[in-house]
Amino acid sequence: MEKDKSDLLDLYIGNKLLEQDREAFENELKSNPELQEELNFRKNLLIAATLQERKRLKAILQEKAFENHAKEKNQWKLAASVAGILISLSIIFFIFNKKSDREALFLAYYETFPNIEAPTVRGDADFNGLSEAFLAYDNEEFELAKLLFYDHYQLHGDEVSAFYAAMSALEIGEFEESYDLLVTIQNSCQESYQVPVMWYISLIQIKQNNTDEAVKHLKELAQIDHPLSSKAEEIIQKLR
Amino acid sequence: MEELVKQLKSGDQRAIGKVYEAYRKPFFDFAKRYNLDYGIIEDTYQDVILALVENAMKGKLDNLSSSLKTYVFAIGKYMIFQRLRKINSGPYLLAELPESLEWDDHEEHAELEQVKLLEKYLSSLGDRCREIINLSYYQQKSADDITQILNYPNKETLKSQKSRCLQHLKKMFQSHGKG
Repeated sequence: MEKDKSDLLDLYIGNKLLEQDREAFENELKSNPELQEELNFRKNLLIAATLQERKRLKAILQEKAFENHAKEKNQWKLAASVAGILISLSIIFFIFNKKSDREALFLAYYETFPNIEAPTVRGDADFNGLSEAFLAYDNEEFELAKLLFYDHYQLHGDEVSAFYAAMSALEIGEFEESYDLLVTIQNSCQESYQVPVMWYISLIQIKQNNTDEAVKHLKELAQIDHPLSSKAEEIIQKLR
Repeated sequence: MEELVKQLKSGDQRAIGKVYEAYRKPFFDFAKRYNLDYGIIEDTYQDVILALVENAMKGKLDNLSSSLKTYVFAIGKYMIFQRLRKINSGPYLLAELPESLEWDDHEEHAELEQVKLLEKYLSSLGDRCREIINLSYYQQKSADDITQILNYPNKETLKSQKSRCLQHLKKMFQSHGKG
């Protein structure tokens, strides 16, 4: 293989040729089977070298994972004994405090809602001006996320922003604000958010000890074909 | 952060370990929201670190516009969505890698006979040839960079050595064909 061809092949594989050089090279490939064969060989070599190096690095990371897992297991053992004591204390406490009972129920079922919109980093397409807000949400910077989503909602009135502003507010313990936003969009938001809106409204109502309203919403949820309906049914049973 | 990227770029294993440890817990907390098993999250996270290292090596993190953590999460989310799409669960929307980053799992080609044989033959090459192949094809460094990293007097010496390494690999193939 001529040396200059060898360089061209590697530049081509690495996608480092300028457009016009690439086109000229591709034309040559069409009429030169030997060159095409060499290209295939080097492409496979790149894949083989990559897979081999990944296996080597992954073995190192797996060892780290194993160490972490062992550490976590020990921490769980310790945590389990502490938890045993705490659960006993909690049972006594909850018997005397119904409000805390609702709080515990809220905590047991509350989970951060995942961002189901496109992932973003700075510099990506603007995503309707929401990139920064989703970036903050994904990075768990919920104070900032709430402000950015809320501003967007104020300007554009879109329910997606209002929903994520409500989720961010929940994360930082601003339950009333979150509740008001969710109630505002309850009937107008897009279908994929309707069940989550109802779910989080019910959870906030449980936390605020507004059991009757919560049960009303949960009963509606329990009738819908959705992964959350079985959880709604569970909570209704517990509230009884 | 620039220093850390520089260390990742050179394949510094301590730096790779440092990044792995730094974002593991937040990544697990983040990934658990998608109802994935512990094993799948761990495997995905390891792939995220590999992708981060490879992109650093190819100079794609030289001008970071966000924090390293942001890139870890963006790559992670992309990989989680890919996995979820494969097991076909949930209304997961299109996930894209951050602009300018690359990742190919080479799933389609990993089982090709030539690839498998090349993996085997690479292990039997001498250290110097392995280094040249690794720097040229895995890290995709330029000939100038490799000349400098391996302390060759000039680019031509490197090219001759590389050509000998490639010939050696091809000879192993020919012997395989004859055998």
